[in-house]
Amino acid sequence: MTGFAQMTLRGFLEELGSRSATPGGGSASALSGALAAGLVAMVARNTGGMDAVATEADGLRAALEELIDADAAAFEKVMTAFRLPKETPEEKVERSAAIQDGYRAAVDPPLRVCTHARRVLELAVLVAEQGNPNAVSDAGVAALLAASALDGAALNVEINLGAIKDDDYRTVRAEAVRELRHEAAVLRETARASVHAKLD
Amino acid sequence: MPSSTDLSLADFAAALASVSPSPGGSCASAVPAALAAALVAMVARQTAASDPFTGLSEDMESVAVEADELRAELLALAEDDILAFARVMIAPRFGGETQAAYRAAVEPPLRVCELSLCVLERAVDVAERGHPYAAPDAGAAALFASAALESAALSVRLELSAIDDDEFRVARAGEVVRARDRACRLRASALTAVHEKLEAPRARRRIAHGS
Repeated sequence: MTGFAQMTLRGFLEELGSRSATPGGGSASALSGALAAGLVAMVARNTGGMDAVATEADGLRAALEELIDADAAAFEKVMTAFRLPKETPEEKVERSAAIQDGYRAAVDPPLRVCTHARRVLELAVLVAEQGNPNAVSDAGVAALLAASALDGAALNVEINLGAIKDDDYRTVRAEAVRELRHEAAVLRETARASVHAKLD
Repeated sequence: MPSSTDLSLADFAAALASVSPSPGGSCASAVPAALAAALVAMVARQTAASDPFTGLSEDMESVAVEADELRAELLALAEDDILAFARVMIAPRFGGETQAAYRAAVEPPLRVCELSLCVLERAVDVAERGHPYAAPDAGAAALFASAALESAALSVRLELSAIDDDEFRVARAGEVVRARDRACRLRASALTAVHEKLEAPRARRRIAHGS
């Protein structure tokens, strides 16, 4: 599979809109997070003394771009497991184990999108509050995109967790996602308040 | 320079990250709306394929085509936005021409608001009537469309602040407020439908249908 990050925006959207389940919402969430990180870096570069923020945002952008592919690849693995033979009892056991492994692997990329998007959102709040006021609407857009990336990825974590039979594994991650969502809602409001105060 | 929609995703994100103010947040808001439109089309196509030769599949085929058209217009708007921004930058700093450039710059984000609302309506439809295995994709579509609308609303607000004509400003600001109110309700409807499907056991069979 070629890297989605090397596709044109037009081409990627064409793939996304096709019937095929990959790339899907998880990959789109990673892209949204990467765009948010790009905007944070731009605001930071237009503000004195924010080089470290720009550099950190660049790193997050690269990590989120990789997750566009990682999400699709993990999901393909689950689909492959579903196509394994299930004639004999042994095959059934093997297939079931492969499906469970696949789902666990498929939880990981969107969960990482959530944690990276949360950090992007924190940086968006920082540049909204302390960044160049001329770029405050860009900081606001960054916060909105990062929050939608986090929430969109969270839905993908949840549907994959729903298929996992290990209760402990599921509960720990479901709790982590709930927490991330809550934090995102708070950070998004903080960014909004700061942006609106500066635009007034 | 190639148009921004013909840049790779990585180059587009890098262009956003550069110190240059364009492309910036205003252009970037058309992109999540286009992502949302593409996700709506995907869910509609999967739903149509899972239940062929029915009224539902016919409806979903139409939703997919409408979503494709919305996506194409949104991508074109990302371009228009960059051009409008460039005109604001080069317009003389005084006189009618500057005001005309500001007025023109309001139009792309305002259109992004309208189109995001169209995408959001369809996201609600596919969240409610779409196949359960695609529920998270329908939900992500609703989240991106509403983030796009909110983002475009920020850009409209910024551009309007430079406009002298009170009537023009009040009318456009009113449009944005109405769009945001409606978007808020639609987003909530979509997410309610998605969560109901995620909690239903049928959603767990998503892959069996997808393969």
